[in-house]
Amino acid sequence: MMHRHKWSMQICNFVLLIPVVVPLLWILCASFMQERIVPFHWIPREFGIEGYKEVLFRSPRYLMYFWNSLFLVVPGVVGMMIVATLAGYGFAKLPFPGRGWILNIYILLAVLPYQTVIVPHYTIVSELGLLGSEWAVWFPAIFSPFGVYLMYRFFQKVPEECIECARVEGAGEWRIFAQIGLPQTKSGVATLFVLTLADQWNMVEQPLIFLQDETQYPMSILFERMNSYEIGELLVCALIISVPILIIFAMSRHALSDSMDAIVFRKEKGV
Amino acid sequence: MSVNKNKGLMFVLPSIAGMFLFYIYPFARSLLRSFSNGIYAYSSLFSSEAFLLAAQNTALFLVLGLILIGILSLGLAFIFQNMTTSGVSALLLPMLLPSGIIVLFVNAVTGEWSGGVESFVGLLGIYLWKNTGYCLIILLAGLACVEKASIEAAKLDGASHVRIFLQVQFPQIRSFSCFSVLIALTNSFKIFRESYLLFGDQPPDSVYMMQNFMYNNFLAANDQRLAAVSVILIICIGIPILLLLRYGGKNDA
Repeated sequence: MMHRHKWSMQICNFVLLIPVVVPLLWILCASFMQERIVPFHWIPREFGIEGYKEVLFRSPRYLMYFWNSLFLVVPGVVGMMIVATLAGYGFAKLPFPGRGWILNIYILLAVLPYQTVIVPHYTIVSELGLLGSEWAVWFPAIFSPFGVYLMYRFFQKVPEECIECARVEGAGEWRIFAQIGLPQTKSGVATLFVLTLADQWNMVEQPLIFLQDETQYPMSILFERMNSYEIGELLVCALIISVPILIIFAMSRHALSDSMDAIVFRKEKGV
Repeated sequence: MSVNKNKGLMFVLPSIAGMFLFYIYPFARSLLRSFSNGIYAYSSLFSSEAFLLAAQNTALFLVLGLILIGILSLGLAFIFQNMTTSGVSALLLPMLLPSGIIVLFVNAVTGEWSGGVESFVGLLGIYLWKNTGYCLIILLAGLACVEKASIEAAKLDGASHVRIFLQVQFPQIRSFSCFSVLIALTNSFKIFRESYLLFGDQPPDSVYMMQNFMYNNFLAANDQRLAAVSVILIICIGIPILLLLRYGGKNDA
């Protein structure tokens, strides 16, 4: 057994985390800089909070973009969680004919890059007359196959005996789902939520393609117009847009660590 | 029990219905539409300079990106293989954080990117920053599952750490490595987000990729051409994905 010194472990952690933390840290420092940000430096030469005042209190449009982000992302993710947990449970615990090959289709669709499906999405969305409405963003998110497959993997780990017991005692399937299935896949649910939320929160393709009015755009696209907005305000926006992600990440760290193992698409006995 | 079968269908019905409506059916329509002028849509693609440029850049980006991320994440996994899991989940942050952060940071550090190699390398760098953490986490999770006995046996035989890693540990984490490659492959297309934030609609030639080609055709409403490109893309990406899923199923004992 190798002896692992506590401090060498900490140094390792620290070294790995530097590239992760530095950009965020710099943005934080730079958001307080009133001077023009050339050249690249860390300590503000003129300390000020003009950027914060402008973004948070004076210009309403930044808050509008933030609200748009919430509006476009949250219903889609919540809807996806509902559909995916139900379907994942169904696939894992209630076998029906054809389950195998349907799941294979799900896997394939789950890992295809978004660009490959965006054209089909566009055709059906415009056919349904939803172009320009938030439903064009919500629907494809709600029926994302990735969520279903992930929940299927997590529900597979719930021991059959628990479920059988409950069935024998006469519990209805919905009850088993809610009171046995879900609690046992808590870390899986949290993981799916974090991954999907972060991905949706950062959406760039969807607003460009499905929305037609700039006032509907989420904050994630704001940074393209780097020349038309004040850099100080953009920096503050970058922080604001990261705060929800950081909070949710901090709250779910344990769940993420726990479920990394299950995410890998392995063939196990009985898949 | 037939009761269970019906219940099962009820649970999966919303998902399957949505899948059919938003994925299967529209894709079939796209496929048909792409052939509505015979194979003109496809043949005209191959004589389109923009398409060929995009295909070349995308292929180059994918190949280089996957190789680099493979080397980097394997190397880091080898070095940090005994790390405790508490600090590890923070490696996910670059993938979770909004693109605005890295885009603003990079802009400040290096200034505006001109065309040419600088932009391409820069995008590769962003791609590595975003995805190495996730791949590393997966590989570390896999390494934790390797049988200790096989490592001990190799140590007794006097093998070096590197040899142990390559010949004992690496074969046993095949499904994790394949999954890692899969994720890196899928996420490589997401570089469009950073590319759009940095360059807008008209990126320099060196970073003009398939996603940009599709977006520009979308703006020009070339529906048929878009359908054809989608089909080609699905086939070109789908085949490596299917291979990875097949090949990456099991780990060598």
